[in-house]
Amino acid sequence: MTRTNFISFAFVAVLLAGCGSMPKTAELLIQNVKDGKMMSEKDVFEVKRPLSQVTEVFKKKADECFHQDLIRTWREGGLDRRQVVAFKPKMIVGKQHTRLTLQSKITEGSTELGDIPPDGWYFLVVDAYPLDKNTTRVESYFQQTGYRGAFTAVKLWASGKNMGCPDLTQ
Amino acid sequence: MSNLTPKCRAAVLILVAGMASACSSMHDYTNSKPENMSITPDVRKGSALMHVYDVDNKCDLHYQGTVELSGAKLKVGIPVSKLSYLEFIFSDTSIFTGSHSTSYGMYLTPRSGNQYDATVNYIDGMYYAKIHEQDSRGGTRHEVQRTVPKPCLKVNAGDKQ
Repeated sequence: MTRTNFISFAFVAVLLAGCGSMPKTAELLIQNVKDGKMMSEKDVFEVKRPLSQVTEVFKKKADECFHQDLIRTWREGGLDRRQVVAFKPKMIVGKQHTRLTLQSKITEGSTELGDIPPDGWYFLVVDAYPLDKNTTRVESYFQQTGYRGAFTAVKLWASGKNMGCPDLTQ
Repeated sequence: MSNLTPKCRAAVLILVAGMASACSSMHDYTNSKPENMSITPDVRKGSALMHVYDVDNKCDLHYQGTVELSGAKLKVGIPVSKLSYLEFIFSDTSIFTGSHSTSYGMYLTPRSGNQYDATVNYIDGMYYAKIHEQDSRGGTRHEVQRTVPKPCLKVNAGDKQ
């Protein structure tokens, strides 16, 4: 990562933290999207699969792809710099609702300001509801932090179009 | 190079030598026999590599070499009846993030006589690496599950992927 790119990321993080819009809970992230706050967005779609199947896919893929540490390295002022970001996926599964959330936290290399939750800021919340026996409605909420691949992957997994893992470094 | 002052030339040579020595830790993987794994890569943008490691009984990894997954289907030999760790590295560059890479690792103990097919994709920012095992008698073919072997459970407790 170049210095400019790193500074851009840091600037966005500070800006969001400063504005108080880096979500500490899933509900706050959803509210940010509903209020049309800066750098938050929503994707709503339906898939011809029962909720139980969508839930299984989310469980399997979240564990496989989101449970990881991302290591960024770059050179700054003649020194090699390193930053580690830990991701934490969580699932809440009910009969009529499944929720997948994804949090991120810098664990090495720099300090994040603000009252960060123990597992990090929420940047992705995915709610799935059954519309009928074979149709599921998915509502995906995203706080733009640089890990757009996660937001894109959810739709691809739910529809079965691509079962790979997103490259979260992009 | 000819326009450089002797001091600059020396500095460039030192830099190149340093880079070469840094890169020299990575080398081609020397196949073990038999060649029991065929790999089908589909890499549309960026590049993909597979690092092969031997895993000892303390779960320490010992680097054996690297296979470049550049496009053509290829065959490699992974030691039979021994625990190996295969690490797939997907790298790309973009305007926003510069050069970056992500990795996806799997443990594998190949069984004698069995054949293994690995499918490795890196398409539109999504990566995928799956290994299937084919029984030596031409019987069942199943996906190799991505599990952490017992000796490595403690070691991997804090290491998520």
